Amino acid sequence: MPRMAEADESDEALMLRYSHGDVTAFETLYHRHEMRVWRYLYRSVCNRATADELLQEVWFSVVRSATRYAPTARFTTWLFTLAHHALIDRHRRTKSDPLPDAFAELAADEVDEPSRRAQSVQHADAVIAAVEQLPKVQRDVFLLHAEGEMTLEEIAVATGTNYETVKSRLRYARSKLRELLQEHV
Amino acid sequence: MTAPPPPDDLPDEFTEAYRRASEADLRRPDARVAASVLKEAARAAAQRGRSFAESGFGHWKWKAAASIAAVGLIGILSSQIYRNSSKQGTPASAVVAASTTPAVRNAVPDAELHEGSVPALSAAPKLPTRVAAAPAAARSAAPAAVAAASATVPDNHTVSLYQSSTRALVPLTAPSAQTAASPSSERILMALRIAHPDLFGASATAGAVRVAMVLNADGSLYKSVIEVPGGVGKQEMPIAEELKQVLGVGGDELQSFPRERLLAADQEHAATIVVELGVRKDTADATRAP
Repeated sequence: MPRMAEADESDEALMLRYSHGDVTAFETLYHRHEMRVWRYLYRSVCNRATADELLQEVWFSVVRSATRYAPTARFTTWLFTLAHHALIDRHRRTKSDPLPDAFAELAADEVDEPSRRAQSVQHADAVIAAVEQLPKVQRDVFLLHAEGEMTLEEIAVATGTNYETVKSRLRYARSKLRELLQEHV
Repeated sequence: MTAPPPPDDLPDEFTEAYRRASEADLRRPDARVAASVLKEAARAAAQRGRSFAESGFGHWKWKAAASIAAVGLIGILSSQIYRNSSKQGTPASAVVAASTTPAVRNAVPDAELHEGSVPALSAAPKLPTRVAAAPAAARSAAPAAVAAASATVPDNHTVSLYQSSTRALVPLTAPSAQTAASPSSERILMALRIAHPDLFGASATAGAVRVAMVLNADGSLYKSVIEVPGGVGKQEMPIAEELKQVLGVGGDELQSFPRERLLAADQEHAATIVVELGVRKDTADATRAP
């Protein structure tokens, strides 16, 4: 378990400590961001095994890059940029759609996890399902914004697109969500 | 009356609704992933500790040997040129002209000339902060060689001698105002590949890397440094100030206004490289228009 002091420490400070050999700092970082990165990956690929594999890949990249890490941007921006690139790399490897649509996997998960169904709220499920139905580029921008808490400018840098494109993708994503969630809002 | 729409960067109702739904989602990654990542992190930290302890002295010796070799080579070249010109009593330009006639020089493409400078750059001793630069001895010795030869060479041949005798050490391409003012992304990438090949190799990791770089007026590399943890890299600092602090190149030495470039470095590996770029004034010919 992370020490009390580490819980208050910034991501950037923890990463610098790890780059100097402090493994407990890395553990704190990992536990702090594991779920957000995984959710971003999972909602992008809609396959748990693939999301797990990519999650491991992203954090291995963090480990490998530790000695070169410079806190010139927020750690989470860097982390989600790595996650985005892991998705793109996977697409290149498999020659598949990097951010496919979601229905089949969602249905499979619901069958596999009756307890989750029992606990989940219908509205929450509808929101997640709506996000997973977004066109892939809109979904990517929306998730980087919602899970990665990245600004539009940071997303533009991470995805190699320009600011205006990111802005319009997010606007379209929100508009599509409004349409899909009309009966729940 | 409707409320004004939120600024684009602020989370809207759907973002908030998604975050709440996502937090409530009980699905989690496999616990084996965490175990595997934490094990790898510990292994890498231990390995880094070992390799630092084992190889620190070896690297120091290698850098020292490379520095001595570079200085020695410059000395030998300079003395050979000086001896040739004084013994034979012929202008040094005659020696130069045999190998470097204007026609031959014009026929040499820029790329080849730059390749000639690669060994010198890669053999140059690297500074502790990963600064890649032409050897200081080379920078100071080359003009000295020119000065020595100029004593017996007509002015209009000085440039030829300078180019031929210091080809491996000094950037050679004829500078143009356009190159100096606005180096292309390809040229910046080429300089980056020379100075920091580890950003492009198979082991390079995807992610954002920040590099401070100063190019010579002809577009070749003068100095470059990857900003390391604990370095000066502060986002808010003006680039000119940062170049001065990181690379020791003051604003009065720079020809064009320093600026930041974003490069998509390599499709396979390095993802984004932010380059803080400055172009140095041409010290070889102070009369050249900036």
